[in-house]
Amino acid sequence: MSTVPRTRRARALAGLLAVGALALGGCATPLPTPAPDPVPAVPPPTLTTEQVRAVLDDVAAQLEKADAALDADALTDRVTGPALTIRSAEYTVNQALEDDVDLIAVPTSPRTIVVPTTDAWPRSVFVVTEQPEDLQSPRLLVLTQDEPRAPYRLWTWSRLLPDRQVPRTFVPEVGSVPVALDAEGLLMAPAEVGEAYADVLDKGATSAFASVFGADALRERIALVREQYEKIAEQAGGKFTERYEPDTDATVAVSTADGGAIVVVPMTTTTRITTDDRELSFGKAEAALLGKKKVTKSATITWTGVVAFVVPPEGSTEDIVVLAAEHVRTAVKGK
Amino acid sequence: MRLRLTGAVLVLLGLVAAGTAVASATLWRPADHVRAEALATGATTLLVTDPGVLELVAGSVSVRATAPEGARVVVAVGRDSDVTAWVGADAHTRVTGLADVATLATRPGEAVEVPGATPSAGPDASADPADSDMWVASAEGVGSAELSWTHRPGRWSLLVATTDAGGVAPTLELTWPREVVTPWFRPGLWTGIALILLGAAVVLVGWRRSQETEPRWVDVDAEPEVAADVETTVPEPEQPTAPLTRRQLRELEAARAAGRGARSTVPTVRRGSEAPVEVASGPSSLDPPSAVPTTASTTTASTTTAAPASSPTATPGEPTPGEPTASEPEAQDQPYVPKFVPVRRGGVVPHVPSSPAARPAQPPAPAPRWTPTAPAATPTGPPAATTAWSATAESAAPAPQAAAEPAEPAGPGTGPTHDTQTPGRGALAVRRLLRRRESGVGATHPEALVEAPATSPEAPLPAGQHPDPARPPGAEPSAEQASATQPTEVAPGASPSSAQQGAASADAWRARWGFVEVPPESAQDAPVGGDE
Repeated sequence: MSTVPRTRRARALAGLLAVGALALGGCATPLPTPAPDPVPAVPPPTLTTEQVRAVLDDVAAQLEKADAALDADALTDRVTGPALTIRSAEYTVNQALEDDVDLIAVPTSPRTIVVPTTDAWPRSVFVVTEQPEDLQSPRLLVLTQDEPRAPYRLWTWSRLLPDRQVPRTFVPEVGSVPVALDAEGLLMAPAEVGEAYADVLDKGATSAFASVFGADALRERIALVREQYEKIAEQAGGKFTERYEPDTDATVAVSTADGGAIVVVPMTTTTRITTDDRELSFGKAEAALLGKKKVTKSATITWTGVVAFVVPPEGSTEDIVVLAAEHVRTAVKGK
Repeated sequence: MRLRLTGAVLVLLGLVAAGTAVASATLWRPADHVRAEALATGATTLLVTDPGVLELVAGSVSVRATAPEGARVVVAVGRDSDVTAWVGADAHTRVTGLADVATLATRPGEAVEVPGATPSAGPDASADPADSDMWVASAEGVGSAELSWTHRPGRWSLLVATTDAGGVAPTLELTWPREVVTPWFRPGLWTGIALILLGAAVVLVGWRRSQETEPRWVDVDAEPEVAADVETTVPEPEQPTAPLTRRQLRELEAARAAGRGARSTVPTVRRGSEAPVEVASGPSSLDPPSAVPTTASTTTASTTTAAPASSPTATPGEPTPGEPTASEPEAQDQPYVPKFVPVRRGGVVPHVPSSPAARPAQPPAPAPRWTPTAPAATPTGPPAATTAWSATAESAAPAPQAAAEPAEPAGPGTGPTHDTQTPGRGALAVRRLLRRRESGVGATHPEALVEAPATSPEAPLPAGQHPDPARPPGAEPSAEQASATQPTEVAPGASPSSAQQGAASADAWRARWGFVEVPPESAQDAPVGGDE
């Protein structure tokens, strides 16, 4: 027995003991520690498609309920902003009419959902609805969440104008980047679109922005209505003025797939007519809003509107087009 | 005893390992779920989990929240940023992970400012998270609420809230299913079995050894058995130690007494003890002689008994054979190792030359021949010798030359005439070498001579041997071809060559540096080790 084998054996024994110790020590599994996914560079979409559908269903339920009762108070949980204003006016008119209830249909089944990717508030979700069975135009709905504990509410709806195509957007699973009001890279910053369009409405072809916007049904209609009121004012021997006030602060915008944006601008139109003491008689609808049928000095008609623009990316040769709009008389005042 | 003890320990370890492995899959088998609890601290009514906590143990988790006194409880899962924003500045408790297997780690949550959000003060603010649209899963109940959540990509947090005015703290309980794995079962079991088998084997070996050792000793006394042992096993070294030596000694002594009779005795001894009576044995014996002679010359000067005696007494041809035989017996007596070493060396070198008949066969040939005496040693010997030489001293140059030369001599090796021729060439080669070395240093001459054989078994040896063969021819006829030629070759070759050129100087040099003895020892060591 030389020393060599002895040391070898000692080593072998030591090795076996070490293995045994490891085997026993391995039984003590360390506690798992949280290993979440890394924080994404771009925030994920704020809502899933299912969540949006759930919100829409809730909105529809509330609308249905409120419409049935013509009760605007029942809307406040899910409807806000211009949408609430318009619906409330409709309820008022319809309550006064005592006829068949005539309300603007607000379909809620989504065809296209545009979900923003953001961690901030407020948040806006855009929804293009399926075309209703009565072949009315599809609606562009905007749902907003003002702050974390607030629910998503229907903020505006607008009817797609004839022959308008909704620009391609990213699917909800990807989400669309919200566009800041002063964002660059667009033919016109979202904050300026409303003012420019108002200028065109006001000045017509003489507006500096006339060439920026193509012709659209909204402008034609507004012009038509204005002509009528101008005639009335003329007949009454008074003056006619109309102002277009876009709510720039409330403007929301979301990017489209081609780098452009959908910009939704609430716009209030105020029509004022004065008379030289002649009577002005209003129709049922206006009278319902006014609370009386006639005025003798002046009448102020307020239209609550929503204009949705498609703003192409910077450098594009296309016009800014009005994608959808709503323009509803929501208040009449007069003496 | 040690073996047996070791084996027993191994078996014990194996049993422990196997037992532990089995226990890990049975007794200690972990539960099929992990359940951990947390209580909202600091009288907060909100409890939020950090992202990653929900999927801490498994992808799916069962969430159960309870509140005392039948308070209403809401649980909800949402994006971590949404949950954090919803909680806002409200006091809440954060769940950060596991404190231990059954407890969730918590810490007080800090208020978070959310961009664009007016901290939960607005009229829209609702203290009831159940109203929010942001949750991807939620549940509520009185006293308790339960929720199942399967992880999906993203960062998700759980919000637990009690909404009653009382403000009671909710308790959260997370339960993950866990796939029970017994990772130590199989490896542990196999390791245990392996250890047991290994231990048993070791014990068996130990027992056998204890049984065998004594009887073997008894057997050794018998001569035939010993001889057989020697043959089967290796080594020359054993031979010396073995009792055979006595017999051999006796025989050798007798041979000595007979004078020339030494030759006959030597072969007989070898034959009896070892298989290699043949050429191989011859070379081996020869080889040693060659080394011996050279060494002998030196040794004679220095010390050594047998070598000097043989060389002086006998004629060139005779002495060589005598030497090997003498060396062996002598070695047996005492200095075996040293003597043998030289033999091997010389033997190795000479072998190559002796085998000249087959060039390629040369190197291998020596090995087999040696095998009888020292099978393992011979193969190892040559390389060792060469390396040793090259390392110790002179040049590799001789070796290559020698290598080249041997090829030529090989042819001649077959016939005596060839031998004579070869010697001439060999002598020339040797002279060349010598010249070269001489030119280099005077002292080197002897070395060169010595080295030549040692370093390049093939080349130098031939050179040295060739001269020898010339002398031995006379011897060859008398003895067997192999034995006669080899001995004659080796001994004479080395001695004459050295004698011719620088016998005196070489001897002096060797004596001075002690080279003669040293190389043999080193050579010996290598072979011995190999044999063992």
